[in-house]
Amino acid sequence: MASFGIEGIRYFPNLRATGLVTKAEDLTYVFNICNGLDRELRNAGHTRRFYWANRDCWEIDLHSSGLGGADDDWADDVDLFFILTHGNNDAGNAILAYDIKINEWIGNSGNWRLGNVNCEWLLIYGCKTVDLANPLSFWDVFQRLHQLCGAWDNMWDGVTTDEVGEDVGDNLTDGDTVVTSWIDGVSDWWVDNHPIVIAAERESTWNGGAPLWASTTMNRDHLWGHGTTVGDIFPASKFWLSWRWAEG
Amino acid sequence: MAALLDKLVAKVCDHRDSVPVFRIQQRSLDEMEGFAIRLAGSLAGEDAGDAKSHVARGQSRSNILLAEGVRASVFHASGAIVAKAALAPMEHLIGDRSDKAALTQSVVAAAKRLGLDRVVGAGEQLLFERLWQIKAAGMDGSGVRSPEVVCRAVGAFRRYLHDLPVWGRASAFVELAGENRIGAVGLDWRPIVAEPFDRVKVIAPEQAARAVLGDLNGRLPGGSFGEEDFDVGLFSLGYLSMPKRHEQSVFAPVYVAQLERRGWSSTNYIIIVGGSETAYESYCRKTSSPPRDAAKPKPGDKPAKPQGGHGWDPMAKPKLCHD
Repeated sequence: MASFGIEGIRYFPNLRATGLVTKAEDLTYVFNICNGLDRELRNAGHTRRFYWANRDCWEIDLHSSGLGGADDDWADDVDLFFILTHGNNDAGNAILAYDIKINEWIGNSGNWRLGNVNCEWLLIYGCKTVDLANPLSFWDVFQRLHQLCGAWDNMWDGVTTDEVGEDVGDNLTDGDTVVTSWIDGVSDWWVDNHPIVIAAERESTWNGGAPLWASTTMNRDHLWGHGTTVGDIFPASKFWLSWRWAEG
Repeated sequence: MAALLDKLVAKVCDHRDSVPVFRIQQRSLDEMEGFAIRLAGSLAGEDAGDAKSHVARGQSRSNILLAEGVRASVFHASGAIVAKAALAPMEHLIGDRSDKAALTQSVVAAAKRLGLDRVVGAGEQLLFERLWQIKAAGMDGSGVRSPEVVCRAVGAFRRYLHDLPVWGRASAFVELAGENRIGAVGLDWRPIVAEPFDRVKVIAPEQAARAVLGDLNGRLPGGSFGEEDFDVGLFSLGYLSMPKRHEQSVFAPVYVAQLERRGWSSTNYIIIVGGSETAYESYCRKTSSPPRDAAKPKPGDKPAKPQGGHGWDPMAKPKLCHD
């Protein structure tokens, strides 16, 4: 079964005080969502390795250990890592807000390298983490990471989206693929949460630019124990990135 | 804030002076599961009454398995149903053309085929609201991009109760794959007692808008938002169907605001405030706290790892055999 780690940041008073993001407002249903995912995964027999909140969530947790961070101990030390915080995008890179500076207030996917230790799935409930026009900017993040689940525009925090953690967790453990679990799980088909999933793919499915979709990571990958989990794609075998998104 | 208040009030829709209040009918689990089996059965292509099924009743939802890999969940608190066919996400694709008008026609036809209107009672309507598309594409390491492909079309439908929208997740949705196959269907429909048990005076939009802004500003202690921070996507009088794991006994009027954030932090907000002076039921969702785990090790300290099967030494001597 899978190991997982969860981080959620609801309050941002210290970030606001720095002046870097003066209107980084507090969020509302952060821990409803985090707890929901945590509960569904644990109920299905998966192992929570860690669950950190607010100022225990650090930029170095996702930052590659090889580039000065500590992801070998946290995000890359589990099969599935979920984080909920404010997000945005800078020149194609995801940026995430933290309420403590260890080592930075703002994380940047330019220094994420996941899968070289363990991580197969990175899930981010935060806005605009993926630039839909430029998903290839995540190329180096995929160091045997299977899939990255994020958003290509704003996400929602509200009374009707506070169950998305349970929904994603239910989907993952009911046998849906990871891509379906995310896109269906964070969508209520009312407000537009802009879900997107990026996957690493092999040359054998590229087919000269007419992908053999049925054999892709995107089509086949499940959480451990709930269907087929595809094998890791080492950086030398990574040939293309696929992405799947919802738009309304 | 005055400008943001004005933006909200200018956007108000569906407003009226008074609104009927309805009691929600409570159903037995057997009823809910039976309905879910019929809905999922029609998705499986079976005759509604003949679909063989296996029901596993859990604490908060029942999981139902049918032939051909079709499965459904029915949520006990609300009766909401989600049924899914066993289609892999990148198979049975719709194709490379995104003809929204044709896709809309197809999802509406599929909803009719499924008989989703069978739940609609007197004074109610179920109307098409929005077409969603799920698409995919790819790019190789040198930047060559594959054609975009439409994988699924999702038709979202909204319930109206005496011409007022019942807000919340889509009241019904149908997910369509290629060859008009139905990939999934969902229904969030709390049936009501047809006769209202009360009729209540609605508060003025400006009063509701002030309550919305009060709620919003709670997210920025010591500061306040300005007109430039949000666009108003929706400010509507209506009813609200709470999330599917949440019990609810009444449909009473509420104002629903969708506030779309502009700026570095770009989280959008849905804020619900009561639509009358009479409070029939709370629409507040309790916020949760994180678990209190052990303290996180300081940066640089190695976290303790769970004991695994590492370090196996098959040549080690058993403890009892030490000299």
